[in-house]
Amino acid sequence: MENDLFVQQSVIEKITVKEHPREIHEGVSDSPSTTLKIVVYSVLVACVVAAAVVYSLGGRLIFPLGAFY
Amino acid sequence: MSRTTIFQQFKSCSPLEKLAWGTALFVLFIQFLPYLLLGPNAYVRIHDTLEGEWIWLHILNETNTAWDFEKDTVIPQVMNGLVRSAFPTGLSVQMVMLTIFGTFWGYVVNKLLVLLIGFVGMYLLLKDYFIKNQNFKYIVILCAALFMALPYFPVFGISITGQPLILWAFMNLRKHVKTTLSFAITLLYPFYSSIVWIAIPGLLALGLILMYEFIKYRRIPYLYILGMIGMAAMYILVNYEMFESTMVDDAFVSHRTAYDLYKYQQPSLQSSIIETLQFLGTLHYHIATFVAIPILLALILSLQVKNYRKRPQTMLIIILVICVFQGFYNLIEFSLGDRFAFLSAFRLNRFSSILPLLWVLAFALSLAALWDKLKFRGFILPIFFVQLFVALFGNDEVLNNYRIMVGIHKFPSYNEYLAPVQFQEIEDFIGLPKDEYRVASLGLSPTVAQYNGFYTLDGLQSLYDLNYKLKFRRIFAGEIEKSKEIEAYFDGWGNRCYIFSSELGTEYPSYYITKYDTVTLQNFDFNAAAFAELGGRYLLSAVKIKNADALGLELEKVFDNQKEWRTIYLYSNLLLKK
Repeated sequence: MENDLFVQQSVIEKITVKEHPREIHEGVSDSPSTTLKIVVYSVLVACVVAAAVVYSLGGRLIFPLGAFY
Repeated sequence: MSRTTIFQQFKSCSPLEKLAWGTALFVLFIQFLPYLLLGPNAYVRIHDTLEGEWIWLHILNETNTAWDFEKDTVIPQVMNGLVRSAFPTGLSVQMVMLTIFGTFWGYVVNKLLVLLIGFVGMYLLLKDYFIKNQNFKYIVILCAALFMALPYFPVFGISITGQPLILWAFMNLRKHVKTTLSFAITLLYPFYSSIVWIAIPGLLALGLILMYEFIKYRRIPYLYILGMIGMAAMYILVNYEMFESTMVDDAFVSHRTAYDLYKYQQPSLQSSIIETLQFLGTLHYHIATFVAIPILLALILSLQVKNYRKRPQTMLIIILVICVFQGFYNLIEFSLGDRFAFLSAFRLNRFSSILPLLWVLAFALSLAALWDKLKFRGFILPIFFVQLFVALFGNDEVLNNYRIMVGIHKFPSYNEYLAPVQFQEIEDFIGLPKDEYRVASLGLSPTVAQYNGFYTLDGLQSLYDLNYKLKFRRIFAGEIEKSKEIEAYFDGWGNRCYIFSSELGTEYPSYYITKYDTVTLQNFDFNAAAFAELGGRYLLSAVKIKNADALGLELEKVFDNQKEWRTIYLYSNLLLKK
């Protein structure tokens, strides 16, 4: 459907292995850099720790969580 | 579909899909296990639930007025007789749930339905319109599971969790597929959602999609428009009593007409920026407190995936625009309210209610984009599970229930908050039929007394008579004189028509005193004559009033059973003591 707002613009659904043979074949060794890994996992660990601390202690530091935690 | 078929289908799923289905089941299990194990000793959210909306439905059920559509029906139990139309419509699934399953289990079953509809809706929307590729099915299921983990207010039905389903239905109508089912969904949605929270922003958002389609493609999707008209008509029908009382009944002057929300706290550029950041950081507690940092991380990473970054990027821009609009709405309203009265009347600042939908859609699109770049693919599951952890940990009902289960008791359970045994003792002590006297509460919400069948002068209501508010105000006018905070809170807003004390303030703990708080009112200003004029005979106080004798109040008895969550001091009004 040419005029379809969502389908026409849906670039995501075009993501298939068939359409991207180069990246799939060449990308096997394409692992993230150590810096990127450190950044991503640091953010994730910080999220877990912050959630555990803030919610466990009461969360009153961050409005409006205080009323519930 | 037979059980064998489902089992066979599950067996044929990829390992990632099996993990995703398992996660969805885990999200449900972890939320409902405490209710099954603890029953009414489990925690149920207090704000706008046990202290408000859910107890309103309980009162409607107890007074057999849920489906009473008479214009003149009054509920005498609340605020010396409040018109039925000031309460929520009885034409709602929540009302039916409470009627069938009772107040506690009705809440649990209703919550289950709310979450399941959210899961199914998100699954269908992502699968049919956003992420069709079968490789991403596990992302679809995971994101639908995440959507179930957020701390919604089940009392507002599927106002938030129903949005993916309603969007799916409208997209179907655009494409002329599954039209009967989709029409049925658009017509039924108003029976299970709040007109205040979703009707106006929802219809406006659908209108924007329509406008976009027309401008870009010069196409008018008639079925889509018909669906919108049908939904709007059903909202009016379902909430007819509210429209009638506020728009047709001239005799009823709502306390909302005296709103002066910015009496002492005027919005500024600084406060608007802070509010914008709050919306971005924690969303809104009425919608679902939700810290979305892992989603932001996925969004940022997805921006590096050249070919597939457009849609996550668009979602992020829409989210930012809504947060800024929400953050600055008060400032805009304050600055332009006099010139554009509709800004104050309609309060268009409810667009935040579509943020959970947008965040999860953005997440799904970002994860799908990450999948395309091999070096990012390994981040998908860690990012997802951290987001799920943060969401579940941030779900106050989950957190407090597991606290209770491991013996850390920070918030009262359903039974502890509503204290049916303690209030039965009070009723027995007074020894009169409850309709023969009126009570008010201090230091605890009047909904506790209302739940237990007492006739209260006070109440938390979003709509009541302004004249009554002025009469009630006289009871603690002396305390209002002492505190600008109370003046702004009660005079400027007043939905909580409670007796306030300047020593307790207006913050949450002021109507949430527990036996662990060692507060005593030293110099309370209370007008027993004004209390008597409204019929006030007993004051149920969670704090001791040191100067009670001077106020014309007599301490009848202290109810301090150690099993209870709070101590109640029962004072009688000497002016009405026979």
